Order: sequence, then structure tokens, then C-alpha cells
Amino acid sequence: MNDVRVRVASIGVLSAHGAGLPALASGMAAGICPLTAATGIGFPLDPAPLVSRFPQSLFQRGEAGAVQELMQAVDQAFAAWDGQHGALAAEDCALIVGSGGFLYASTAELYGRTVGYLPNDTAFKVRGPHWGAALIAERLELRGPLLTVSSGCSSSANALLIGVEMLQRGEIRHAIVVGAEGLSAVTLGGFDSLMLLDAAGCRPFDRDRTGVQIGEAVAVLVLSAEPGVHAERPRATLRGGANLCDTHHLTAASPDGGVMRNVMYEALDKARITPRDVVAIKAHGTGSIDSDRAEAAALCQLFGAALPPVLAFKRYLGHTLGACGSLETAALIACLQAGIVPAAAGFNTIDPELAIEPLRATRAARAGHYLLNFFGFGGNYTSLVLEWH
Amino acid sequence: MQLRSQQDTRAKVHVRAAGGVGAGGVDLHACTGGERPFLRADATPEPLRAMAGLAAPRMSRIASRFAQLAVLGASSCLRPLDSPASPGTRVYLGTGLGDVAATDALYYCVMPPMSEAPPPARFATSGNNMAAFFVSQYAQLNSRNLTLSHAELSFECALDLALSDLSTGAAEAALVGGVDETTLPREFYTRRFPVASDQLIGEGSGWLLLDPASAAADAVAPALGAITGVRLLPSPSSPGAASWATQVMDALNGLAPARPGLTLIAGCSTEAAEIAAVAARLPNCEHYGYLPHSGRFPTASALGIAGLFAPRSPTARSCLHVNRDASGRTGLVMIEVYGGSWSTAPMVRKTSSSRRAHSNNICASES
Repeated sequence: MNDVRVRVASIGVLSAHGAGLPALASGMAAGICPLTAATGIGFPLDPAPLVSRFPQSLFQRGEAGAVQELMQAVDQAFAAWDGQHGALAAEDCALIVGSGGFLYASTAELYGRTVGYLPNDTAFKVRGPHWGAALIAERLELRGPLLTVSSGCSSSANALLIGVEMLQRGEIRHAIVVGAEGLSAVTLGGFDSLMLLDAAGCRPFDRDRTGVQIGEAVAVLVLSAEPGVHAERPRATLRGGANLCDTHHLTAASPDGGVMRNVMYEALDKARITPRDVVAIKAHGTGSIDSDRAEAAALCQLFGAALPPVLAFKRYLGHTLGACGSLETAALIACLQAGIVPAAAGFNTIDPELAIEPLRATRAARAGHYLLNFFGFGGNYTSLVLEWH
Repeated sequence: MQLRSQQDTRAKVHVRAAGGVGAGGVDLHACTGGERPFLRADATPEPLRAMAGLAAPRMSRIASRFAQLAVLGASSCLRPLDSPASPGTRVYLGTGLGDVAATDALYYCVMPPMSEAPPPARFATSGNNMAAFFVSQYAQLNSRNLTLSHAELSFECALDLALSDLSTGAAEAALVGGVDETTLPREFYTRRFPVASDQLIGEGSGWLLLDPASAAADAVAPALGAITGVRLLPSPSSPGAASWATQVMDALNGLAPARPGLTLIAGCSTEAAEIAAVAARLPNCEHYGYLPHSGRFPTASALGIAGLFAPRSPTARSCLHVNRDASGRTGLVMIEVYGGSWSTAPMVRKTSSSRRAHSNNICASES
């Protein structure tokens, strides 16, 4: 079934860099890390940590903003779609949304109304993790399969994996994969409680790293098993991946990185390649002490002395939780299209315990296979393989 | 290869074990057949910690009630097995609403007037996928672990994905469940999930252990039944029960020829007129209803379908479970219950007495 070539046909993205893939690509190529203080979210943190949030002028907060964000990213992806008109609304196109807690923002509004400090002037809809998918399907009159994946920080990576596998099995012709996560008081307060926030921004794999930098994003990738109308050779194809569960602890990886190593190995196996075929690794690289340690151990076990360049995106984009799968896949493609693989922002000092050093200087992009890691709470680990042609 | 929108050509999968817990923590296996109690009022969020502690002693004490519900259901499914689920078993957990109570608690904590930092343990355990994590931990599984949602069709979607993974050999076995919990007050619950004023809110956790139907596997342990097909359909092109029934029958013919004596099972979001319209097109069909026992909640179908395998001596029958979501999308599940006495099956040889004893212990401890 791997003979089916799953191309990334179009992308729509909203991130801290603004709207659209060009903004994301140019921002990362220029080494820009748009960090702003997390103020005005309804819950005071002192000092306000730096986060990666949408430019303030773009959207309203709360439910209305969440709807705008979702639909704008989807509209971008639809506008860039190069296949047949109407194909994305047909019964053989799936919509798969991945989100760990995108509804935090709108649910916060619900409670604001409930306790009376926000006006209760609109009716509420049925709630649940599926809310975003139902909204998109209704607005765009989509008739294909719908699914929402809610597996924490690997949510949209799993959504991509499911989409690729459905395409490889020939069950559908196209898949619209959406990763979405909003900034919320609950998320920030929760990570702060766990002492996992780095208030100054994250430093993946750095000796002095202390935690994550929360971000928000909506990223949409349209996957297709069919060539575009222009019949050009696709530049980015997703070859497959794997998902495993590390039952060591709710919020901490097995220290030896064993399950992380296994999920990477299985992903390469599914893509029918070996570690030697990987030209670079987009690490999960949150900047948290334990997670980076486990990931570094897993990388060393699998790749040994032949470790390819390790990329770390979260200083540029924030940890967008359930959206990071689709956002960072989109970001990698954006950078490759721009002809670069970006240096790991936020990294300064090698941690002797980790024994790995992420890419220090931006390089020219190479064709070949890229391994992408996405690891979440609940031991939910996903690795994907992207081929750049 | 064939597009799924046209026909379901996947091979059937076997049901090796089934179980679940319903409102009030009632284990399906504790109350078989007609003994299963009718729900007489909305389910209430009774504490499950004592039951969960008995069923899964290693489960973290900080697990949310939603996660406890999930593990209780999964343990009810797996407990009768003589040997643990295979390490390659994948977990697919469907939920319509996710971990509502834990999330609610976080909001009350963080939002005005309290405006306090959420307790770390409560935040860490509030993720929708934590329930599936605890299920994998309970069953000692490191394989794929997915938490999936599609409103009232969440369990059907999980089952559909599992069926694809099993039929292509990607998964060697699948533990597929549906879990949703009740929350109070009713006014808040019904904002999230529509339940009419004359209907009762339920909760539950229903699970199936599935594997590819094979003679080799059957020689080791006879199957309890099979899932022979799942179809997920878009909204019908025109409104009304007749149009919906036509769509269901067209899809059913793509799953298996309609046969006399099919048992028709209504999901929680279907309406009586719709079910009557489908029944009228199925010769000599029988009806089976689980909603009076389970109450209404988004993944009631998981408990209802698992409940088909709960009696110790079920009658062999072919079943069609029909359900839909609020937007009019439909989910069909074709089920074969093989019948016979489970107490003679090698896999569940010891379960008749031990399972009941264990279940009684759980119920006693809860009371």
C-alpha cells in the first residue's frame, strides 16, 4: 500500500508569524522568533511568560475568533488547492482535525458567560472535541468522512498519519488535515503549575533549558493521492509514520527514550527506508528538561554516530500542542520551498548529558527523507516521514 | 482498491471479548440479559475510585473519573481472558465529549471569580487522551493509542478505523471502546449534548477486543461474534425518514445482503419514525433496544454493542446498529453474535464464576 504517493497538495497556516505560508517561510528564514507577553488572557501570570501568539490585530478572542482562525486557514488551503474544483467537498475526501484543546478559548467564553462577566447574547452549540470539524464541514458543505483526533500534543500528527494511511489504503482520494490550538488561560496556568514553562522562551536541547514556550496555530494540509491539474511532480510527499504509547508516566517519557526510539524506527520501516536515508530530523524539541533528554537518548540509540542534522522549531513557533504536527510539517515544507533548513533558534550551549547538538547554522535544503517527531503527554508518540523531491 | 464511499470490501473481524460499565458503575457481566436494570433517572456522577482500584490496582490515584470509567470498561472486557491482550493490540477510544468534568473543574479554577492556578495533577490528567493512556497502561500495551471523536458517531468512527487497520494487517488486534461520562447540572450537559426533557442522560464505557478472523486464532479461542462491516454516510440528499431509510438500505446492501430476521438496533440519536422506516424495508426484522438500560450519551452505541455479547448464553443473531449525528450523518455497524455458551469456550473457561464473583465484589464495594 505504500506505493500510493501521498502528496501535500496545498497548505493554509496561521501562526505567530501571521497568515500564510510565505510569512512563515520568510520569518523562519530570517531567524525571527515572534515572542510576546501572555497578557490579556484572563488569568494573571507574574511575570507574564513569552508566548507565540497570533498578531493581536488578526482575530477576536473567544469563540468568534476561533471560528475566524479555523476558517481562514482552511480557506487558504482551499485557495491553493490544485486539484479538481469541488473535489475537496466530495464523499471521497476526508476531513481530519487534530487538536488537544482548541476549545479552551471558546469554552472559556462559555464560563465567562456563565458567571456573568461576559454578555450572554448568542446561543451555544453542542460542544465536544469534534466541534471544529463539524463547523468546517457545515460551512463548506463537506460530504466526506469526518474525524477528530484528540491525543494531546501528537493530535494533528496522528491526524496526518491517519490521513496518509487512508489514502494509501485507497479508501479516499484526498484528505484535509487540520491542526488547531488556541492560547488559553487553562493551558498557560496548567503548564505553569507543572513548572514546565520557560518564561523567557524555550531553548530546545540547550544545557540551560527550563521549559516550553506555548504557542497557538491553525495549520491545514491538503493531502492527495492524485496528481494536481498541472501534473507537476510533487515536491513534498508523506511516506507514512507510526504511533506508539509510552505507558511509563502521564507526563514524563521513559528516561531511556526506548519507546521514542521504537516509534522512529517503526516510522522509517513503514516508509521503507533506513536511518541512513534520513537527511535531517525535525525533533519534537520542546525545551523541557526531561522530554529533550529522552528524545536525545532515543536519537542517539537509533542513529548513533551518524546522526543527521537535528532541527528544532519551537522557538520560532512556540509549542502549539495539538497543532504542532500539522504546523511544524507545514513549516518544514515552507522552509524547504524557500531552499533552507533553519538553524535551531534558542540553542546556545551544548548539554553534555544529551550529547547532541541541533543545527547551529541555516543550511541549504536537500532532497531526501525528513523524519519528524511529535511526542505528547499520555505517552503518545508519533513520527512521520516526509520526502522532499 | 475500492473507495469506501462506494463499498465496504474489508474482511470481517472477530470479537474475542466484550465488556463495559454503565450508569452507576454497573458491569455488563454482573447483570446479564433481562436482569440488566432499566435506568430510572439521569445517571449521576457517582465516585468510581473504589471500583477502579479493584479493577486496576496500579492505576494512578490522580486519574480523572472519565479515565476511571474507561479503565473499568476495558477491564470488564479483558478480565475474562485467560491471557493478556497481545502486545501488538492497538487502542482506539471514541468519545463524544471527552473529559468534561476534569476540564470543567479547570475552568472553574482558572476563570473568575476564583482565578487560581490549576493544581498540577488535575491539569496533567485532564487531557482527553489520558483515559486511553490509562487503558494502555492497565492492559500493558505500547502499541498505537488513539482518542477519536465524532459526536454521536465517535465509537463508530473508532470501530471503522480499527476495522481498516485489522483488515490490512496493520494491527494484529484492536481494543475499541466508547466512553462518555455524565456531568451535572442537566442544563449544562444538554448544552453540549442534546437530550430531550423526557429522555434520560446516561454514561458508560463499552469495549470490544477484535482481531482478524482466522482459523488459527479460532482454534485457540472461539470468537464471540464478528463485526462484518461499518459504514459512515454523509447526510442524505433530501430530508425525511423515507430518504434516510433509502440511504441506509443502499449502504446496507453494500455491506451484506439484507436477510430475514435481522435484529435492528437503534442508536441514541435516531428517531422512532426513522427506525420504523428502515424496519419496514427489512423482512421479519426484530428490534433490540439498549437505551432504556444505558440512557443517552454520545457513545452509548459502544455500550449497546458490547452488551450484545454480555449474556452467558447469547442467541445467535445478525444485527444492524444504526445511528446518526445531529448533522444527519449516519453510522451503520453490522454485527454477528455467534451464540452458544461462553462458559464452555476455552478463552473464557473460568469466567462464568470468577467474572461474576469479581463483578459482585466491585458492585458491593461501590455500594
